[in-house]
Amino acid sequence: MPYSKRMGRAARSRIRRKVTAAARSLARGEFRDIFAVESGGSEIDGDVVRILRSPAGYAPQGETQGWQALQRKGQRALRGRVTRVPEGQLSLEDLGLSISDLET
Amino acid sequence: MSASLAITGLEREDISDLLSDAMIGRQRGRAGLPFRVGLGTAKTFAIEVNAPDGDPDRAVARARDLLVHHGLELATTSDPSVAVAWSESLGLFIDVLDPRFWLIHSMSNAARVQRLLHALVWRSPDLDWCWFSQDVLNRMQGDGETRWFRSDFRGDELLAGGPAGARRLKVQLEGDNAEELLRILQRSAAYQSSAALTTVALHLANPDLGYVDEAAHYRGRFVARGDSFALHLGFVSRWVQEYAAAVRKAESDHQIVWHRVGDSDAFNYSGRTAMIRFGRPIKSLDHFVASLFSCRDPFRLWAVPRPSRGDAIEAEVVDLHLGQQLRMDITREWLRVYLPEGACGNTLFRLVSNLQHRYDATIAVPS
Repeated sequence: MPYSKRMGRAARSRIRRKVTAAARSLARGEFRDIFAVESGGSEIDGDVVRILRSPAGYAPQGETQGWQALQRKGQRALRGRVTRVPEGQLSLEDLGLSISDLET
Repeated sequence: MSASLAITGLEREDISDLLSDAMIGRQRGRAGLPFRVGLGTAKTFAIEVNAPDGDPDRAVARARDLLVHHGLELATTSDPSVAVAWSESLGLFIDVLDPRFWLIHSMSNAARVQRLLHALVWRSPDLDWCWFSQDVLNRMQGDGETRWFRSDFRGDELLAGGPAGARRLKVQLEGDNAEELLRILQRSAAYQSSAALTTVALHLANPDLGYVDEAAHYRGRFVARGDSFALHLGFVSRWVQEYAAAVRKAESDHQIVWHRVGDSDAFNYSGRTAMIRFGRPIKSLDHFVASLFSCRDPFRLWAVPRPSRGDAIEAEVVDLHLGQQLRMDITREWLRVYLPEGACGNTLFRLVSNLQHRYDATIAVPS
């Protein structure tokens, strides 16, 4: 969390509670097959997010679409709307990945 | 019949304008084309087609044989060195100005084009990709400002048994001066052997032509976004021409050719072996040669290796690209290639660039 060390203890706790509640809500709803929020146990102060499924494990061609689908899912869950990418325009990353090897 | 199709009045310059418009989302009239060009990014795939005494007419005829067999139709244009080919889902512009090193341009889906070309290259012994070495990809960055790069080192097969960190390295970075991190990896003793540059993306601009963000992959693939197909083509042509010259020079320098001395029974030879030195010694030679000669993509080599003097291994190798035979000597520190007369220089570049991505990124192309 940027600048968290400059905040007071109460402000830090408030933000932490908000983030935890949002993560739990997403893990129960839109992202239930993507990640889970679990207790950190005795070793970790607070909760931990366990990744259940990630586009990082996909083949390179599918990986980009996987991340984009995840982004749209997040936008739907948080704001209820989807940002449209202008037709034909790719990010630099998508541009480079579009010519990656298919067989991997 | 596809064999007789011709699109008259379509010149090379028209195609360049058509593709520039398509890059910025403007679909002009079809210019007599029997397919929809598509909009978005311009892709170019460089393919080596090994044929003796090639000329554009023969190259177009070979393209027709290959593509019609895969369900595409082909038509010639007013430029004898440019043909167009299409199917329901694909449109290709085939530039055979150099009849041996083809440029295949397309605005169609990159994965679809790549799938088609992969099938063509794998099934046709005269076809191969153009294999850019680390040195070439590094130098390409000098043409513009590097904005993104990807390093994807896959040593799982050739380095089996080594530490996991050395077997696999995947780095991707976007930002101004993105190459600085790559330089740090390439200078690091721990990572330099695995820091193989796979794709580089740079920004190119020209006050007269426009701009493109250009990505180049080590297997001779290019893709550009922006507003100038001419700028994209200029970049691609420069590096493919340099590659073609390097392949021809390798053939001239490293093909071992025997000559009879006068009318006598004596022979001498010209050409010298190509020496590939490893930055890190091979731990298990048996495992290394078994993986190298497995017939599989990307090396496409088959051999029955046999022990030689000391720790060395010698092998009569069949290059599945052209079905040609060549000899290799392999030790823990180096690999020596004997290219016979008529052998394809592309074999050497395929070997080096894949060893750079699968064994040691610091290997240099033999000079």
